[in-house]
Amino acid sequence: MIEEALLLDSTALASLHAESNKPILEFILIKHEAHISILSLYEYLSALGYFSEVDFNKLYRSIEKIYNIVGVDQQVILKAAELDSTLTKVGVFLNSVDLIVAATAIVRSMVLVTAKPELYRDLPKFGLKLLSVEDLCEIIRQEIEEYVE
Amino acid sequence: MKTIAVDEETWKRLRKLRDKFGAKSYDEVIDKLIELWHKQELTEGVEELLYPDEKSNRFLNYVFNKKLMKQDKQD
Repeated sequence: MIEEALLLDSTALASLHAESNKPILEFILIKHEAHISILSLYEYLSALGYFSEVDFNKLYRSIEKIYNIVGVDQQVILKAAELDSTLTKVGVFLNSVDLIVAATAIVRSMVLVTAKPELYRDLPKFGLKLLSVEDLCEIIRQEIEEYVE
Repeated sequence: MKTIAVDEETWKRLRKLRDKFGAKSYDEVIDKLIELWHKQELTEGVEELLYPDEKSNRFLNYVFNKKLMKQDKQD
């Protein structure tokens, strides 16, 4: 059972919005607190727009209905800057969006869900709680079984 | 506690639902109705944001590869 709120990154969004994950996604949204960073939303929308003609306004409104969209505030930027400078000193260079998304999860005490945990491999030692989509799906399947019983 | 007024017909329907739900109070009935409404909204919302697995996989690869490209540039 996951107690903390979830923060889905753009890879988790892409993965969980596959038709085969529909029951899992619905259960997550009904039973858990699911958030997405505004930056993950930008990445995801950009992917959708790359592959087909989309109405970005309509998509944004639809996504906003089912997720809590989290903005970037001062605390998040300060945490991201701290992580970036510390990692750069030891030769680790992370994508700025990933750093800000990870900082959001740390600052707001959320579990960051991703389909690509390798993107954040250097961050759990800084307090990031990380969960792969694979592991999340397994947990949710168990929760669904318990719920049905 | 707050009081709300409903007409006779609504009250009869709420009473039927209270029996169906096995609820102890109308507060519980209204709470359950709100929960069901949220579930319905979410289900409809999810429906319009689902993509075939193959397409979702393409979105995932696109996002991931772009991230790697940005990391390479930083290196």
